[in-house]
Amino acid sequence: MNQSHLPGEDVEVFYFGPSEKSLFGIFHRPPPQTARQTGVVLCPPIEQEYIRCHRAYRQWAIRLARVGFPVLRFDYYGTGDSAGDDAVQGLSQWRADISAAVEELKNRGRLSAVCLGGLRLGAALASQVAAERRDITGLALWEPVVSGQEYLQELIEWHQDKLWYFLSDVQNAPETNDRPSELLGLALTPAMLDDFNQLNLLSTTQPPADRILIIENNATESAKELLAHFEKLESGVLYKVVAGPRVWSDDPDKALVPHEVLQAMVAWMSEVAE
Amino acid sequence: MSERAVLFGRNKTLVGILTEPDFPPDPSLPAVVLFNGGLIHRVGPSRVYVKLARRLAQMGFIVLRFDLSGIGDSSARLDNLPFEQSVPDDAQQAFDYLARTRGIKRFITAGHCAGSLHAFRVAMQDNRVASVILINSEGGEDSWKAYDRRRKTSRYYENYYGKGALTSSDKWRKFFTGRASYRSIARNVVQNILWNKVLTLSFRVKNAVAGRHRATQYGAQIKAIVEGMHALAQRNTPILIVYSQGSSGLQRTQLLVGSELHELSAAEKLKLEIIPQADHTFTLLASQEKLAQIVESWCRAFNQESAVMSSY
Repeated sequence: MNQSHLPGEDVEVFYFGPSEKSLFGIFHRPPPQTARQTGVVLCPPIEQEYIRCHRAYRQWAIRLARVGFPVLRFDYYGTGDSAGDDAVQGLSQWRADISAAVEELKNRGRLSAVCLGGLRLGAALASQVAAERRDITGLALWEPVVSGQEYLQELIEWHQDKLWYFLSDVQNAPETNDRPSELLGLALTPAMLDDFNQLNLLSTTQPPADRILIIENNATESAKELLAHFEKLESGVLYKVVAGPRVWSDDPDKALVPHEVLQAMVAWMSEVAE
Repeated sequence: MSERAVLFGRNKTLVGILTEPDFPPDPSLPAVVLFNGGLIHRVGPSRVYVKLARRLAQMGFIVLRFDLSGIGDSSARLDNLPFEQSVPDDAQQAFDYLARTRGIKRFITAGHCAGSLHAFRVAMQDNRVASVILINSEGGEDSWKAYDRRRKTSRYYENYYGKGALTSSDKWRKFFTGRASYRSIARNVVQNILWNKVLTLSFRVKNAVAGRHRATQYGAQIKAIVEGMHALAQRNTPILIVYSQGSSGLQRTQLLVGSELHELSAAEKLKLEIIPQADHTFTLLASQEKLAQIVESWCRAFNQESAVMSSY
């Protein structure tokens, strides 16, 4: 390890995947004496939520690396530092990106097992990918989006509020209706809108992983329904309510780190994975 | 256009993305270096840094957008250098990296919000900076922040009632059937709309009467900025200032350094561009496109200058 790095901050930055759709990745190397056989891929949320939670995600990765997990953070196609503009055709692209990240981490760390962690839409996509792949050891779902339709409605309201608050002249701003063409900086293709409307974690028919953690700030009905659904699918699910800042929607200049939430997720992952 | 993720700096702790043209770059062209806007990592607000970098690389520029120490993915420094010293030092490391690996000799510094202050300060300290791009510089003392917050709160509730509630049949039904919170409506209209309008108007009048020397507690800082603008003009380092229409930062800048803006614009050492229908972080895609066009157009002058130089 380079002596100028604190534990968990020893990173490699790179692009991976096909050149026309290359994805930005940042690999957190654990201290050699602590390295585990299981790695963790952290799946980000999107757009404003992605920007606001960046610091918390970095801290999440650092803390996981400190207890021995090789960790890969990455940006989906058309988001962050990855290739592509805003107009992504559908959620299947981002699910494929998660799978590509899992393979990349396995190869890079010579690992046999991988856990997934995600916040908001990142949690929903991670859950869908895990159910599809059937090889994910553990799944940490932080404030998961359960219904894409409800999530879309939240984004529409946030976008509208933002324009009303910040724009000096909203007269000629694009209309925010039920099928908006853009939300919070994200261009919404018709295919993407349809995908959001169809996203529903309660319709999953396969258990996403043997061990699942659902964690949220305040108990919500949708998370409880998700818990019941996963229990029905015979997954080992732990549900926790841990108070902390809403880092995905707070002012980005606050850059808060939800210490207790991260600690709970890292402790849980340390228990379920080698 | 290609992108490369890089770790650079004395201890390889600074994380950046280098965006380069597909064709061999002209080494006489300045490279563009983008500084973090506040604590937002190197993608910039609403990802605009990524878009700017790609557009400029297609024009032939090398662009480095990177995280300052302790921001984004760059590790915090272990030398406890104060921020006002660590930023120029980080910038120096970015310039050295571009000089060593790409043979770059001149730079354009650019940044959004707090990043614009970094871009400006670095330009004042380093003669290799050929131009500065300042996007939505905000800030100021608490009274300006309170003014800004009141303006936005008043605007929000005006829009909420004017465009939202008044056009909603459901809200009207609640209002006439006694299910609305009349106390909350009264508070929003009287306190959040009307009273905030009175306070913001009185703030503007007070500042207009007091003039620029009394409109800020930071007289020394304003003096330094004015001197810096003149020094850059003398050094032939033009400044592009971009603001979202109606921003408090634009009002403050015009109040505090309005005469310098006018003077330097007339001498073609400075250009002020205002983007309509834009918020501070360029949420709307059309405002992002407009920003990219303005920056492209500004940088085109360096491309033309380089073409003239290479024809000799």
